[in-house]
Amino acid sequence: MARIWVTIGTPTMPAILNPLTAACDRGYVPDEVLVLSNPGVAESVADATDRFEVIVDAYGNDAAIATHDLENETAFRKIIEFYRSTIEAAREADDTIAVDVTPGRKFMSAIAFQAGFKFDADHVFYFYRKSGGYYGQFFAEIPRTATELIDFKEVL
Amino acid sequence: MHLERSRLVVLLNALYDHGVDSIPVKHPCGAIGELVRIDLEDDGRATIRCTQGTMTYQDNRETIPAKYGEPAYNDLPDAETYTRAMVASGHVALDNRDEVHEFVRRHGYADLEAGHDPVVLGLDANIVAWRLPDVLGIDAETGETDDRGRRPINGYALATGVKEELDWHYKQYNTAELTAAFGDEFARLDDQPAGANREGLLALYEYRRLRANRTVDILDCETGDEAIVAAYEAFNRNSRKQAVVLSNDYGFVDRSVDVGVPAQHVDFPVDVPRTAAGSWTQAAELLYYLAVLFGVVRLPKVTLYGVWNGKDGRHWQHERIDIDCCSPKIAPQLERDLTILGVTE
Repeated sequence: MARIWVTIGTPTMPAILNPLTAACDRGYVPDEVLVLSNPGVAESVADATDRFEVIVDAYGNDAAIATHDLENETAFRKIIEFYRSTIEAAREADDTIAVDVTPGRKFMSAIAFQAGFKFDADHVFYFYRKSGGYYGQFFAEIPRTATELIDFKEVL
Repeated sequence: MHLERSRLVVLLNALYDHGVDSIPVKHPCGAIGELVRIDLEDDGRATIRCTQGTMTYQDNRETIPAKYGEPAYNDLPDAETYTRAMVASGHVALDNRDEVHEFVRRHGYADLEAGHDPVVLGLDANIVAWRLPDVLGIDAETGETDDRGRRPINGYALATGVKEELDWHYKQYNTAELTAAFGDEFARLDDQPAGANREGLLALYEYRRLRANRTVDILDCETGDEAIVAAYEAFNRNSRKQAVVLSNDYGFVDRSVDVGVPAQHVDFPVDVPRTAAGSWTQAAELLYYLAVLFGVVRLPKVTLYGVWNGKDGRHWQHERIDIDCCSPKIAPQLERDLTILGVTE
């Protein structure tokens, strides 16, 4: 039974790395990381991919990282289809799947959030910086009490 | 294990994760003992309790020569330095903070687009160590802009005479006496700068940091107030920039004003309050200053070495301290976090 992490590409590195790091810190260390990418963020997704490996490795696991490329970022049906097929495949394989709704465009997060509930992912995570500070900083160097990893499957 | 000044929150996180949210910071010598206590609070806030305060620290330090001899006494920073570390970490304000801000408002915020001369800040040797432009929010890059988008200052004018005054390469050769007085930790301080010389190195590397990372004019001059002030006067006469100067020495300020170089005295407080509110980031800054100034400080589960045998110029340049983890759980977490941060740069 694998643990899967699904996230969204964005040019802001802390936005894409911090939720995964916080999840690892809480004990959710994934076996697979899947990133939804599009031409506008492809470069930063490539940078993030190497760093995902280092983070998961630092938490004692060895993750397979894959990207799913969209032809353009507003291909709404394809985004929805990506989440539907990914979550359903995980459920069939009895895997655990977490959807990260933190990074990226608002519509990306909104679709991810809705899809996480509609197709029944195990977790829908959001990395919350409690105060205005610490922008651009990484999980390990932000005071522990200034961040929170929220699982909306527990909240709603 | 080495940790950079800017990454010390990683250590606070590790302590917090292992149940330490109230951190006594102690000098290894029982006669000095707890210097401050850091309480880690919600939303990245922290409160500092000044366990001794300036006066008690001074009294405690005065008991050291009779008990342990002069080398031990000389290795401890004086009470003024202890207080200045509290100012430098942003926990305690300068006594005349408003006056300094008024000085900067009057002379700074040059309107470069309107053809005004850039304003550059000079620092006297006695304040370089304490990063006051950052603490006061008037640094050329990090300082807050006014409503027209202008910075308080446009760079720095640093005198070579000031740098030379900071060049105190005095080493510690009394480690046997220090170890007997303060504890085994001090064996690691052999051949390292002792006492007030650690403050000198702190200042020297702050001078170099500014020179490397800011727009800086270097003013060539000899040491001493007379030569340094003359260099600022000549700079203002011959360059298209206006240098203004901060100092903790009234003589330096008077001499500057007499020759037409705008200068402002900074008043450090004579004592520290019992408690001060701040952030984890400020608490981390205070840890850095205390570790360097005292050489060694003990925290729960870890001992911090501001200097250690083998600390070299690169360690000073990167503002590294050495951490000895007494708890086996802290070291792996620090290593893990530093590995992750290493790939985020």
